[in-house]
Amino acid sequence: MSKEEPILLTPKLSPTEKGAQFFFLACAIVALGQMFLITVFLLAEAGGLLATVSLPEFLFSKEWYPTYRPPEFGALALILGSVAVTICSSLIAAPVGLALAVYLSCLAGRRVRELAKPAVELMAGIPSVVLGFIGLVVVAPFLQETLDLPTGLNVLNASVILAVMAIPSIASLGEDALTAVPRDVQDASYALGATRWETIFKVTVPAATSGLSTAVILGLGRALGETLVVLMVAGGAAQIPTSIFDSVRPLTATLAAEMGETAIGSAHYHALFALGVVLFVLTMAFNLLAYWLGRRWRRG
Amino acid sequence: MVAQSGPIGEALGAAGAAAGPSRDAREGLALAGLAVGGAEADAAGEAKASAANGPKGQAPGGLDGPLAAEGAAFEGPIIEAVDVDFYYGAFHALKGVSLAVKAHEVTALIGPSGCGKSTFLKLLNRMNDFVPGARLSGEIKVAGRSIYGPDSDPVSIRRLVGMVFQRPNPFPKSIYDNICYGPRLTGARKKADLDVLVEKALRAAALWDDVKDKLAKSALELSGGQQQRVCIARALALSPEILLMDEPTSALDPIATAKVEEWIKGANLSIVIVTHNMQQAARVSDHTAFFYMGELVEFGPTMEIFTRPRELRTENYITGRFG
Repeated sequence: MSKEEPILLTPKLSPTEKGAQFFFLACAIVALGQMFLITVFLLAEAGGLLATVSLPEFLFSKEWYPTYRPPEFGALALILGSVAVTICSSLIAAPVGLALAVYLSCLAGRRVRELAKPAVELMAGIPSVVLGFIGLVVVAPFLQETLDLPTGLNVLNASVILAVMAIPSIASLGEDALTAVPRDVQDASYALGATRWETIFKVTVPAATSGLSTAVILGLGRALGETLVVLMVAGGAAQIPTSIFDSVRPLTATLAAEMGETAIGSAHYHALFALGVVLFVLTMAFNLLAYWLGRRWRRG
Repeated sequence: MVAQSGPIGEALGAAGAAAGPSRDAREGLALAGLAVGGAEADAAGEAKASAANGPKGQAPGGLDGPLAAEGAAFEGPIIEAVDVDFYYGAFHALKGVSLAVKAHEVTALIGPSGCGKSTFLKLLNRMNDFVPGARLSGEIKVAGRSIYGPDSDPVSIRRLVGMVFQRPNPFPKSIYDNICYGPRLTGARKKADLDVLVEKALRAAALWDDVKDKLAKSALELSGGQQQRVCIARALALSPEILLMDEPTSALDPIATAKVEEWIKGANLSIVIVTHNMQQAARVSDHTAFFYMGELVEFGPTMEIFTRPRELRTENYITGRFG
């Protein structure tokens, strides 16, 4: 006796299911495809600059005079301008944002937390132009008068405003990371005779380290990519900053200010795309770092 | 106490011997509660230790000087609850519970879910303090000292009364750092002292041979049963007077459960264990307390509770008619 043919158990998809599956696949292809095409477009347009200047010259020369004859396309001052405001704003935003996260997650009473957490998240939604405007009409005159500076539009002003933008996201993500630390691990600490502070700083915060660093790095990524604020309050001078009171012209501000005034296909046009690539690489690096830290965290 | 046998008994024997007379006072104290057959000798060592620790007045185990001496000389019940009523907000969770637990015995708390047994356990190291709206009347004494008195300090009580939780909850740190967590809080810093302490605590928890080559590895990489024994070792590193265990095997497989049970039977330590598993209570405990609806229905030698209970409710529960 030969055995019967085994029957297939996997159900066949109905036409509706097949259609739905195709729809979702199409959405995924569109999302990934546009990402890919943007990258290709950016690189192709930036590549045109290499006919005018070499890569090292572009990256390491500090002369950015795109409208001179002959023009000069040295991005170093712009890159350092971005780096300066990002670092300075993180020096303000990281400690304040993390302290706020610890307060919200570990110290605040339930009622305070229920009010404060949405308030903090709402702050993250304030349009950057509003903050930029405050920087322009409040912070800048204040800095200029109090510190007797030639201009209040400088690294410090931009950093303060960017920090105000980054603090809510750092605090909110940081609070999530701290709250995700299992309660029973904290109980174990208390049961071993630890005080509340010992438990927070020896168990809760270390256990959330990766989540907290992800929060800080995503906040920084936001500061790096932010355009309007730096356009309005960083001063716009393409020079290498030597102090926090110098005006700078970060990458994003340069792109926003100059893209409208340049002829398509000109060397300046290609140079602006090259700045875009630099920005793209920097933000990508930040996001990869955040992703890597987040993964490390989930592994425990 | 149940007679020792098998590899765990031997491991404990080794730990007991190691904690013996030739070691210095600090180490003697570190395992005072664990040493097999050497408890009295170590109790004397304990008193010396607290004196030897000088101006700081705090032994690495976290006992205050005077209390340590008192604990050594103390001969009454290690835990004494008198007419304890406990409320979560409006909920009356414990009703007039009075109970006295002898030192160096295993006491099981049994009863159906919500009967108050875990609540009572957590009162013994003040872990209910974190529950909003928790209120207590009556008195609970540990080693003769009222732990809810006006001048009692929850932090030092928790060093005296260790706890092992329902689910293994090691810190996301190395095995070594897990064990050292408590001692470091009390100021132990010297690497050599900590090394000795870690080995003794792990030996006492019958885990040393499994993990001695990977102390720097994360405790989270161990199996569930090993993690639970890390938690036991971590509590033992503070040389507590009492170890509370809140359903310590409910998240473990049968083999890991057997290992933990074997450890409980072999440990010469006052243990209070909450369990849902009546066979487990019968296997490991010397005395059993049956809780029902917030009341302590019956408390007595385990043999008697399980063979000839005085109360009908106890009989119904242990014969499986409810619960």
